[in-house]
Amino acid sequence: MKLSTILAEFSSHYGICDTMFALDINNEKMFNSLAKIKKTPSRSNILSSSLNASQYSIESRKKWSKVDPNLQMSLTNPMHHWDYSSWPEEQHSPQDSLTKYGYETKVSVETPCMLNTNWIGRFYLVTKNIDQLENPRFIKKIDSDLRDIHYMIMTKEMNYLNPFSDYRVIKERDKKILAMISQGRSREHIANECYLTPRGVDYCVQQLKKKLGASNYANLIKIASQNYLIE
Amino acid sequence: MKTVLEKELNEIAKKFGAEKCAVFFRLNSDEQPVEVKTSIMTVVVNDRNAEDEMCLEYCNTFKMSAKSLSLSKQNTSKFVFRKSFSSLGTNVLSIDIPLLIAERISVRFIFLSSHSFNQELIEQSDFAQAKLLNCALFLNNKYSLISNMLLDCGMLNPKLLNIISMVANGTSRDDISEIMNLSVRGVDYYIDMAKQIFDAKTMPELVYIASQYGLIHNVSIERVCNEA
Repeated sequence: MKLSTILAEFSSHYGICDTMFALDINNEKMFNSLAKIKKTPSRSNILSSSLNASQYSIESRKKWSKVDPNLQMSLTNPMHHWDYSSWPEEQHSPQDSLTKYGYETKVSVETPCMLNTNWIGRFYLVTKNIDQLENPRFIKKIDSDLRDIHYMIMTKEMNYLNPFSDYRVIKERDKKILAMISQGRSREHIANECYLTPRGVDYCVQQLKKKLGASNYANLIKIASQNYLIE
Repeated sequence: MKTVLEKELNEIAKKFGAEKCAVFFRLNSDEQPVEVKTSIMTVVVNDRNAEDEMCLEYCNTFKMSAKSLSLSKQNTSKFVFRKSFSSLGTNVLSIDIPLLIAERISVRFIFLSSHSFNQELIEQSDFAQAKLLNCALFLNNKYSLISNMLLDCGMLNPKLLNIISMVANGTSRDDISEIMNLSVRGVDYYIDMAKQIFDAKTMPELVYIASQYGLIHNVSIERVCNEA
């Protein structure tokens, strides 16, 4: 069964328009180190229940991710209602994008990730009915279902949603280097394989350590394998 | 062999339409680095009655079948029906799922029932796998089953386990020697021993292989457990 069908079934069961899912980094220390390297972190992959929803998410990320104050707020709250009522009236607001695709409200709900405490799953629910999503009882009811869906997604599409490759912090070459280090290859061997000089490899590893907040090689491999960066 | 009674398993057993349920972790059979004494060390059950007969009847038969049924390396779970030989129930369902936090270890769930199982759930294999994985991770956090298993089967000892986790956290050899009351040479000796056990050439490789055995992932997940 496809993941989009699972999400679509979930949405229709609870009378929500659409559901989107993405993984985020829950570790503040790590997130700060990301922000230093790349000033505007933006994700590229998001799972959504329908084409309409995925088009909406692309537009909202392109247009609003840099200016929307709700984005920062949603990262710290387990449940956040994306409220645009205080937006200046004369300007275009993210609410316009929502209405353009036929939605009214957007709520993000967190689910803890047992596979890795540094990660957190975040579901974006968009709907026409405001009252329904603001009801705390409703959120409680869907919570266990959200967790199940989270696990189903994790078993199937973890590499695709991995927040480190999603935010393009860790690139393909970095993964290759990490894999070779974990196999016990020497610096010279890695340099040969990746068309780098040994000093270039050192620089790459130094950058990787900075990005992942590691103190030495062994620690780097630990964090990388915790975050499923070694295949 | 030890058994642990866990009431939480009742829920998942009910979902599968079974009365009794047992869970154990085991090494993927073809990748054992050292000779291990027995393949099953700790079993988690939901029913005291199940415990004794499970020990007597199943461990022997499953030890044999563990060799024939080699685990697939893909991310698919295997659903295997077996006719039971015991008086516990007539139907046995055994499910192996690969553990995402440790490639070299897998979990086996055994469900026993006197009537038929919940076919609907079994057909939705993704959903069932997600449920079982959730349950397995919960049990591992609660009883640290993986590290206990590795300790019991004689692969590691507590000192090595400690040193490996400290190395993985980036503690220097000097600091380790101070914490463990060893000389630096003594720490080196233990690291070399760990390298030999895991067949690793360098420290990063050692940490990587230890992570494949799930020794690195089971840290501070209690917070999630309490919420759940």
